[in-house]
Amino acid sequence: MTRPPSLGKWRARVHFVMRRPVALPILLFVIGLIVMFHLQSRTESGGFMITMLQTSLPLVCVSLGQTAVIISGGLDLSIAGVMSLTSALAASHMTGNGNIALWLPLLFGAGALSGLVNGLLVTFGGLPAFIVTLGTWSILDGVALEILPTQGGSIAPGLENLLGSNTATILIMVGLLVLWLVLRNTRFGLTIYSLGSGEAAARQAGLHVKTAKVSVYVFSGLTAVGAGLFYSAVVTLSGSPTAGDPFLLQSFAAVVVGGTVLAGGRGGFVGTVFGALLLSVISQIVVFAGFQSYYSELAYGAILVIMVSVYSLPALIAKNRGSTG
Amino acid sequence: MSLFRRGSGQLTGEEIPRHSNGAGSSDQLREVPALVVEGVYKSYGPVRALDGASLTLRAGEITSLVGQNGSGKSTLVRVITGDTQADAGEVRLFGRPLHLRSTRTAARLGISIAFQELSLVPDLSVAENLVIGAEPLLAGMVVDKRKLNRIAEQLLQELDVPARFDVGKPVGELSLAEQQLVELTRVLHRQPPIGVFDEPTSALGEAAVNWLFQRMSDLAARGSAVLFISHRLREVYEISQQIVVLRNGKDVLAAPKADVSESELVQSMLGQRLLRDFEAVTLPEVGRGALLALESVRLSRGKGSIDLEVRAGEILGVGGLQGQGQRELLRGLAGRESFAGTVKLAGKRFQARSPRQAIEQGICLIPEDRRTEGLLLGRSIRENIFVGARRHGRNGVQRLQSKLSNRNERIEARTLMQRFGILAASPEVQIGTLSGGNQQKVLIARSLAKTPTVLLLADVTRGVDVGTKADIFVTLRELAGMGVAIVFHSTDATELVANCHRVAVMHDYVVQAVLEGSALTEENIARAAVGIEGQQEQDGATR
Repeated sequence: MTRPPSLGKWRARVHFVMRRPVALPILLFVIGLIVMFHLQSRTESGGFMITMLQTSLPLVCVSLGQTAVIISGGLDLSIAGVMSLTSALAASHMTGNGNIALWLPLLFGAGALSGLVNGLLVTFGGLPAFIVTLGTWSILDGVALEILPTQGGSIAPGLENLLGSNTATILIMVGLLVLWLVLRNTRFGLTIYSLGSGEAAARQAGLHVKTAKVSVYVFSGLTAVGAGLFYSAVVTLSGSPTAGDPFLLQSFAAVVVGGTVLAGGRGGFVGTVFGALLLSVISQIVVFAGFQSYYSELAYGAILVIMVSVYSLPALIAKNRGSTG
Repeated sequence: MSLFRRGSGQLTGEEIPRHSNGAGSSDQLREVPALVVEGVYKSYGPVRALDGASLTLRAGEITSLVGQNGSGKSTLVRVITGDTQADAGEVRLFGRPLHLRSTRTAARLGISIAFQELSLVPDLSVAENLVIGAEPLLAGMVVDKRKLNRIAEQLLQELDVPARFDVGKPVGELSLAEQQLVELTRVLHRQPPIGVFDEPTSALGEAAVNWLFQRMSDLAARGSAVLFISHRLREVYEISQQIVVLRNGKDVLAAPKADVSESELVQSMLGQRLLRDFEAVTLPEVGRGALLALESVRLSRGKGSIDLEVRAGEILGVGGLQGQGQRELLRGLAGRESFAGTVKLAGKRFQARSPRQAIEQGICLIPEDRRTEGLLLGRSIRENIFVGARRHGRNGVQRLQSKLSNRNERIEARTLMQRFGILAASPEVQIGTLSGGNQQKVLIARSLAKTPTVLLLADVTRGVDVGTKADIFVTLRELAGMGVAIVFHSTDATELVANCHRVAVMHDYVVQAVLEGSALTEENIARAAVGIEGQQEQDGATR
């Protein structure tokens, strides 16, 4: 009935981490921060914390949607396209302060629409999420290039001031976390976890499975717009029709490093936030320590593989134990 | 025991007469049956799963539904719970026609079911699973976790569930028996007017079964109609008032428990087979000494151990109902799973740790699910036959040659196709385009490209037409004649009786009986399959 008491101490510890996979990225992030502080005292660049938060915010934001989609058992490649389109539109059409009120709803509307199309095709068309969102990604990339063929354009100063301040960055970061914590504990949250864990069971239990499945893609579209806006207005200060592409794989990396299971049903956004921050702090450590920046790619990959291996340890142990008992 | 009102209040639709808690009105309710299924038909493609099945559930009564595998029980349950829609026929709930579109509607109308394949969400907590769909909300939005856990704990306590577990724990971390208890609790606490329990006892221990029976009786005493599905006839006799037997998608017997004897029940489950599918055949002579011996083998879910011997040239049948450990036994022997105990091959201790090791020792398994376990559907017949084989050739040059050209394989594949009667234009035909029977033959051809020492067959004749079946049995007899030890698992008792020297009947992950000679009858197989000890030598009344 209860767990056998003969569990070794280290096994118990592994078990502790497994029950709270968030602990691992948080721990590594804190270690990263300490290393960073150590390095930073020699290089004398102040406020690196806020810089780090700012550079990692687009990734954090887009990963919020990705986390939700993955927990529900799907995946969303189109976020890259949505980010690119947002960046292109923001830099070419939303250049004046007067336009912001008009274009913000339009941008979010476009993100929601793309998500809606994804969700409907996946849910009611029964098509694989991979293919559907690959398609929308490509389409949106094409549209983005049509709107803004090259990098450039300009960002409305109002938007830059609104999002660029330190307080705004912190507020958005906290806001995203709160949004997630609320969302997770609604019936919608319960449903998306159920979806990824066992769709048939969720249906049997009488949950609104289809609505939730569509909503989760819409949500992902919206967060991608948010990420695209922040990226253009604060990080690069210009538009790019391919702004989103590097974020695609990074969003998956952040989600996985944060302890969310790619197969769905398990994980959460808190882990993802620290996953994203961890990736960000690693790339900065690499730069601060005087390595070429491409070493950060190497570090990313290593962290990804190591974390996934650690997460799969308990299952491996359980499997071996199960086969002999 | 006080009621969990919140849940049950929401689940009962307004138009449906609420089930009564008083004793006085139960006579009144008895006049209108709680649920009537009348002449329901349902086909899946060419397979007729329900062929005019009828069923009546009365308030305050426990009705048992029994029948062999494939008799339509699951389909009937699916119709009742709205999981599938019948092609024709009527379902009436308290006298009103019922048209269920989904399980959601069924749940709302008070039809609640504990599923055999548990319908729990593994990553949600026990509490969330129990109260799913009726969670307590803060400000109408956010789920109140503390209240949720409190409610769940209260529920488990009120129902006196015979296990202690942390309600905050994900269900996936519980044992199968504990999960089953959660599933049952979820249905029981709602006190549904119609409660369906689909084979709930297979994962439970004795104490838990007694608990469940007590709760089911309580439920019925409060005026609910209870449907109990079980393969264990002992349990059926213990708990139910009414017994309904389903055979080939039709109800063939419906009577109060007292009016049906155990042997009548078994007889009506089996039916009178007018035509035997296969003529009596002479089986090849069996060699002496065990070629394959299992000593105190214990399957992971088994409560006892298994000792079995298979001699060279013997066809040992493995019978019983579906999911009683046959699959695990065969897969274990073939190195695809592991089990405790000793296996001896020709007197030497041997335990296959991987399929490859088993194959090297000449132990060959033909899996039941040819689509997922056996075949590469997108590839050709030739590639499927030779996929695991070592390339031919005595020296390096020859091996290289055969790597570069498929000529040898093509020639050999053609021979095998002829030998096993595989109907296809050429060995290069994609296997996904073949019929099920032909696919099965390819799988057999692959296993027999090199003659095995021990051949394991896992329910390979299911879903295969009669002609192919006959071909398969001819091949098996040939192989047995060559001294191959054959373990043949089938859920079809007729096949086992006609084609096996001996039959080991499994029940609950152990061998319930080993039948041979005059005791090898369909009836004895069916009896052992439902867990009845002892056997009948001849037809006749027992009990």
